[in-house]
Amino acid sequence: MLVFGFDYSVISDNQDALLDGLVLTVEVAALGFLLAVVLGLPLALAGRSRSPLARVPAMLWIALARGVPLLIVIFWLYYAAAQEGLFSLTAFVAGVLSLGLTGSGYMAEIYRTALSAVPVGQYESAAAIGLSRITAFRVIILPQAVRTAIPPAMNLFVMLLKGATLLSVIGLADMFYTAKLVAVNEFKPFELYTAAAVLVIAVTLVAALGAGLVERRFSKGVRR
Amino acid sequence: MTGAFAALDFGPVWEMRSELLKGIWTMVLISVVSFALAIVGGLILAGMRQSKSRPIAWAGFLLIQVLRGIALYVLLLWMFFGLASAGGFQFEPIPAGILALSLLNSAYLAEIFRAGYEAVPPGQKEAALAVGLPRRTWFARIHLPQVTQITLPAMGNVFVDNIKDTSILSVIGVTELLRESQRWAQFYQLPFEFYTAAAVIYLAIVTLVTFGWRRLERRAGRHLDTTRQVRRSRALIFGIGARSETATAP
Amino acid sequence: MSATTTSSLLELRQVTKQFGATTVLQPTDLQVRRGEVVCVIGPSGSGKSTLLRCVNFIAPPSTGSIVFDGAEYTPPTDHRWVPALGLPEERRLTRLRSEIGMVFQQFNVFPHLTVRENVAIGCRKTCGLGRKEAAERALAELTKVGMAEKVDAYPEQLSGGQKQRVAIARALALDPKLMLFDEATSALDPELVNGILAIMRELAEAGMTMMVVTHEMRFAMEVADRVIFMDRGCIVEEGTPEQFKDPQHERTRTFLRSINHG
Repeated sequence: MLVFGFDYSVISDNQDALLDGLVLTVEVAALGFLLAVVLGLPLALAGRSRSPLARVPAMLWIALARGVPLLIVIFWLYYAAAQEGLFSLTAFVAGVLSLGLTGSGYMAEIYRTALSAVPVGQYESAAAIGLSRITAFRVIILPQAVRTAIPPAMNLFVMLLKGATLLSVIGLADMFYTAKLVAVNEFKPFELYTAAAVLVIAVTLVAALGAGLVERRFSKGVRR
Repeated sequence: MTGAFAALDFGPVWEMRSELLKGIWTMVLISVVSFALAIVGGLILAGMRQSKSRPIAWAGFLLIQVLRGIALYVLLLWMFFGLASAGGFQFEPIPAGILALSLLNSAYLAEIFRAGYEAVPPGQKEAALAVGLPRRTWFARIHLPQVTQITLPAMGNVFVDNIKDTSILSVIGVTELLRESQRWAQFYQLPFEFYTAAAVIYLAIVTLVTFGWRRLERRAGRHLDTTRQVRRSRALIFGIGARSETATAP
Repeated sequence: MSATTTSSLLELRQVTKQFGATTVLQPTDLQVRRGEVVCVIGPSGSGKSTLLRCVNFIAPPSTGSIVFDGAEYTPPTDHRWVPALGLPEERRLTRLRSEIGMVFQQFNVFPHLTVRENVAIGCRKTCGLGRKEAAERALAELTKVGMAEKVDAYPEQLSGGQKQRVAIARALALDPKLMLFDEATSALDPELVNGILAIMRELAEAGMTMMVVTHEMRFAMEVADRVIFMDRGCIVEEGTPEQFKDPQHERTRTFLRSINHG
């Protein structure tokens, strides 16, 4: 173990600021995740469409979202777009958007995998009892796909949570930003970064455990 | 809006191409080295989890869980700024980056290796031993090729994520592609042009690697038929690309 | 056999089915009278299942047309670029399907719904029954197939035979004019087969019009009004069970010999 005379007082003195920062990080990640979940489904459906009019743009979007590093998306949305006078965003909005857009590509893939994991027989028998395609999707296919999608989606949330820590680079006053400020002022980077790291790890571990629990709860009646 | 775009000036991006190319080169170097190290680390961690000694198996499980929970950015700051001030040893940016990347990715790879190892049907082993192959031959000639074929797609995803994650090393001053772009974006006051260029370059590299990796997968699987069983285990590993498996206790 | 009504319920006119370059169903004509039980036999891959799937347009025919209960249905136009344009046509086919019940080899019960919901969902969404009426209807149908005690179970808790009973109840709940059975007993353990066959037999005796793809020759011989032998996407021979005791075609004879000894 590393023992360097760990100074707890720096942490307890700045406890509130750090926790506020942590809440902010989780908030941004949660909103970004929500955006990804909402955008992902139409993207996945368009990506599966037979019509090139829907498929090609969706595939491009997914490739873009998955191929460009998050940090570049953040810089692009925060600095580049503002410079061109397209729009100018607060760090918070830029953070949510960049996490949501990046996440949407991953989420679309998650939906796609989950949808194709539903056996063809389910589509057939839904059609055979006279359900329209839309109803069949809504009441038969989607509920089954969602159950398969939940564990990887929770992993995506963990990934976005980790991504959210990057937002301190554009000055979002999250935990690392706070930690950095205090660390610089009090020359205690080790304590502060350790504390911040432990907090984030705790949150991600809780999220990962939650993923396991949610998975068990939702798999009721479905075991393949 | 169109007026704004009319003012785009990609000239400086082109002028700085050799600098950007240097950044790309650094990125490639770091990606490849850290991925190779991550494979080694992944094998060790996977071996720990499979160990018959319970403490070692639990240690492996715990390590994998914790590493999967750590954000690269957090680890970098901690190693580069935190440890330095506390312990007095100062990392060089590039080794620090490589170490952090390979450490984190080894946890993902360990899970992939484990899933792949378990995805090969037990009948394969029984059949091999039944025809009198020694265990070593079974492992090298029967088991490993199948495990490789099952795990390759997921490994590809980790590799791609690894390439993308090198951009985060810019925060500790590794002059890879993003850092170069950032530098010149500030110098020329042209963030839009330089960041767009960086995004396009990343996208191109990722696309190239993805296609290259597919070829590799096909080569590795050229004698093995992609049966339903194999495909299902792939889907299992896929999820959100590589980083999907929820680890379970040993 | 109810020969009183001569009008046919179902008529296939030059129906074909292609998957890409391979033709699975050669041009086929077929008429099924009301109340008739038609058994379709043949080796695997002979197009039996495809024939059934063409009837309710789950696998729409490539060419030809189908007349069901006086209305004609043709292959839907392929709206590749704007699939939404196909919706009106799709609605018409949806109505057709709600009048035809289908039972699958792999049961295809909905794993995320209870037994009751499995049966009720069709009533609610296609017949427009309320939640309560649909549940009552479901219970009645499930009672007929002997599944009344399991209404609140999920399919994963059921045996194959029980799942197939649920699937039959689900199809019957829509009060179909025609029932399609696609190898309904092939995926069952041998001891469970007879229960399902008994239900099918009862249904036939009650006057249901049925098309049954099956490998159970005894069932076909006893219950069918007409037997059809298919091979390589064609109807090779058709006739009464009586006639099938001494088939005309060599291929039919070979097939019957092979399954009698297998």
